[in-house]
Amino acid sequence: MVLVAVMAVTGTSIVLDLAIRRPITGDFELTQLGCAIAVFAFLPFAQLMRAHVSVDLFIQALRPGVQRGLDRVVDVLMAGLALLLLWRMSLGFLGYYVTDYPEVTPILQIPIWWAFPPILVSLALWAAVAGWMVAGGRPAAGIDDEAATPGGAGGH
Amino acid sequence: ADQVKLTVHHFLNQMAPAQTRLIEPWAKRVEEDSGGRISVEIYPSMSLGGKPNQLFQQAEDGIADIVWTVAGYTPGRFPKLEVFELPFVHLNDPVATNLAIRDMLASDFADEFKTVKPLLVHVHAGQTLNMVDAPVRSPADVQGRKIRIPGRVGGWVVEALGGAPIGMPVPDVPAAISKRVIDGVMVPFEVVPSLKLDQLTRGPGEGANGERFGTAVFIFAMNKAKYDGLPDDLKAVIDRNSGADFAREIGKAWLEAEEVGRKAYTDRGIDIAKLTPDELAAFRTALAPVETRWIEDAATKGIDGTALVARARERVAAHAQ
Amino acid sequence: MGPIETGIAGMVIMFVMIALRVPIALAMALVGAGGTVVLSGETILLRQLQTLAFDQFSLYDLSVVPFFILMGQFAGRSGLSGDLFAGVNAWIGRLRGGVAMAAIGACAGFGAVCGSSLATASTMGQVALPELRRLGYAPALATGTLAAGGTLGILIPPSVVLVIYAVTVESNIVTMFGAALVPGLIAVVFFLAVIRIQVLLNPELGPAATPVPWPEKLRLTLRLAPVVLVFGVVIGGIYMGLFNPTPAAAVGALLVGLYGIGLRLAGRGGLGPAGLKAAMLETALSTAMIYLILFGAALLQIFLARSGLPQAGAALVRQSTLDPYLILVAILVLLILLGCLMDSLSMILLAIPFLWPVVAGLDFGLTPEDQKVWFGIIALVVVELGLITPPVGLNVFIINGLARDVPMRETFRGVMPFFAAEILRVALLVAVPAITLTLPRLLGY
Ligand code: NA
Ligand code: NA
Repeated sequence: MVLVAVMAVTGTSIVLDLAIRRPITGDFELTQLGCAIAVFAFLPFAQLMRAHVSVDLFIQALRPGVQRGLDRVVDVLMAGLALLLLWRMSLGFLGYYVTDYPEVTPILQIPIWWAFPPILVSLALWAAVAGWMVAGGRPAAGIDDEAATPGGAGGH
Repeated sequence: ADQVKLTVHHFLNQMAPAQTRLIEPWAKRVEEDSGGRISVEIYPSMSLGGKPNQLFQQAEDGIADIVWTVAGYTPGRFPKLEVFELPFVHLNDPVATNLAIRDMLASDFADEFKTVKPLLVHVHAGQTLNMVDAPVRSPADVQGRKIRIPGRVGGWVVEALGGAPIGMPVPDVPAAISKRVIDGVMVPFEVVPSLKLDQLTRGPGEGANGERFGTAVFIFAMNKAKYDGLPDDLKAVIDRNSGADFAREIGKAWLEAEEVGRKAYTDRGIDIAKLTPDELAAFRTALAPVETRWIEDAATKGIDGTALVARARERVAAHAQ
Repeated sequence: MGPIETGIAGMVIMFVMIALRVPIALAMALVGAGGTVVLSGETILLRQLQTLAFDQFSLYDLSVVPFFILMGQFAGRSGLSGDLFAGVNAWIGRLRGGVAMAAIGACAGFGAVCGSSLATASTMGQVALPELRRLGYAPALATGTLAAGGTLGILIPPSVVLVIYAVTVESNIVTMFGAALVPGLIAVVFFLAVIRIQVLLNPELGPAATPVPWPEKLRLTLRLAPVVLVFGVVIGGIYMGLFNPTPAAAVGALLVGLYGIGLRLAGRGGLGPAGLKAAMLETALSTAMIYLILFGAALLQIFLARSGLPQAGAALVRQSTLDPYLILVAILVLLILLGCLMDSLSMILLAIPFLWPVVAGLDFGLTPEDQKVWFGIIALVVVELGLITPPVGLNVFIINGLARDVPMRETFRGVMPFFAAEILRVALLVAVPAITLTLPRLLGY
């Protein structure tokens, strides 16, 4: 799974690199599809690491037992979201695939549905990981690193 | 009487002519004509979610009751309607082309619109070849030059002229021109001010009588179930306000919008090149393979492209002033 | 309950959920989904979910985000940060307070290749903090400098938060980066001034380091070349039209990665297999986190649009006779308060869809497009302040985690002078829009 994620990123970057030397028209369509596939592939991993940002401040006043209960509720909700997306996007896939006029990207004419099978696999994995956590699975430890970990979240 | 609320969703901002000249006047007429039983809420800038290419499907699914969108945003979805994007099918009169499309909606294009209730299918005034330095006078002037294209038919046009078609998102166009990443762009004059093309390009051109190199097709359509669920008198309100007059009005509105872009150029002392009939004929010859290519492509989908092209031309001619 | 009341109720529920440690992305998604069902029925929601996430995740403008994160991750693990600090320090370290000033300079340099504030704070903290402590810098000044310096990660382009703002308000990323540069440099100057003034008032705070001899100075300066090169290629390349932001960021990530691998091969630390793997995994995590927030925000925005709440707020402001600057200041204060509790990215996603329509309706004598850019940069500065304000200041937490013997209060005290400088800078940016708008115009945007 992790391998898939890494490959998706490097794969996209190589495609882009090629695109710079030879400006293939429509390279941005490949980027779009590749990026979407990669991001979905990262979701199960983020679930496993419980990486999604939350605000810790207020809840720390509560008893540990209550806190654990709330975290369990969050896991259930996450699993629910993953399952909901899996269900709906399976139908979305069928909508792109089983139709008289399969939609394609404007320039390269790549059928949109090509992107969906890996995405659905990722969603299933996400739901599985979240479900496993509901059943009591613990989040994985931090990422192994030779240097001390630079503060993870890149977006801030 | 029961109230009906209709949501209209589109991808442009609330100042765009699509909203101010098409959707808002239509909404106002429908609301008044229904005696206030229909109310219309307009959601610009994709505020109901999704990407522009999702709009048509949103109308099919009822995520919005009505959408305004570009047919070319869903390539492959309208293989027959695409005939109107071909060069020299639409000539210079969006009113005539709008009425021609209207004639063919219930017959030739019926199966492409069976999932929605089309209110209006219309075109813009047509693609100009707008170059960064000097206008193109002959196909040779396009040779080897990079031109941003609006969609696949536009790409075929540029290829047939020996240029290199470049696809890129519209907002990237001004920067791409100013940095000479592209040498030109296929657009109607209407978008010139918003893309600052009057400041960035020196070579706008069209035929002597405003002839263009194809056009884009826009769809204003309603969710079918929503329409079917209306009481008969409200259906009649929708129908009354979505007829030939509407098609004419919008054709005129888009022609007027061209003047804004033309004026932007002339205010800067840039003349818009008018191709003489002879010059235009050279383009017709050079672009003939585009039509052949389209007909062959249509044939692979079981579509009689030759007949469609002929009928489209015949209907446009019939409505020409 | 009318639509607008539903919208308000939804926002309240969302904040309660966030307070109960529900991930922000999940809280946004659930309230957005639930609210849409209440207002428009479940069919619409279910249909929309078939493609919404895919649409959101395949937005081209956003594809630059993972690459900037990867570039920052590589930069953080490649040894670039140490070279930066040593290079700048060679020149100004001999001044009183000079090593702290060098740390600010290095943060700015690192910010030029990294789009994230936290990564900048933690990377530069690991490099510069031990040196500052060894020289006997006052703990408050040392930790405060690095917590504040870390914010340069988002203030100097490239900046992930700025990409998100641009996507949210449909502005051009390149314009936003251009607009951010001069204000970012002003931040550097202000931060340097804050340190200088403090050591002038109290020389004990920041002792001088031993001067570096000339040959060594030149050798260390040469090591700055990679950063200059990467910034030149990436940001310069974008402005010269050589590439779009996404390929530029991809090339930047590749360059920094190769530089790190090169250092490793030369036996000078750098990026080994473990570092490469960790950088990619961290990138995957951050990307997933950001995109899930984007998805939640998309659902929330759909719900809010259907409720009419943002439109009603904007209309209210338009009708009011209050001075536009007063409203703007109120909005900025609100953002600063919100920033005490939340991280910058969630804030941009949560607040901008509300605030931008309001601000767009105010008349500051700017064109709509200019106003979008100007407000975006001001909002960026204000949102970034959230990283150094108590009680939740993530930069402060990170730096404090690197200096466990310094009490948290001490670090927060140390950032206060920098905070004051930032408020001054916000006032400057509000009063003189040209600071923000001139560069993008010169660059032809
Ligand atoms: Na940065
Ligand atoms: Na804070």
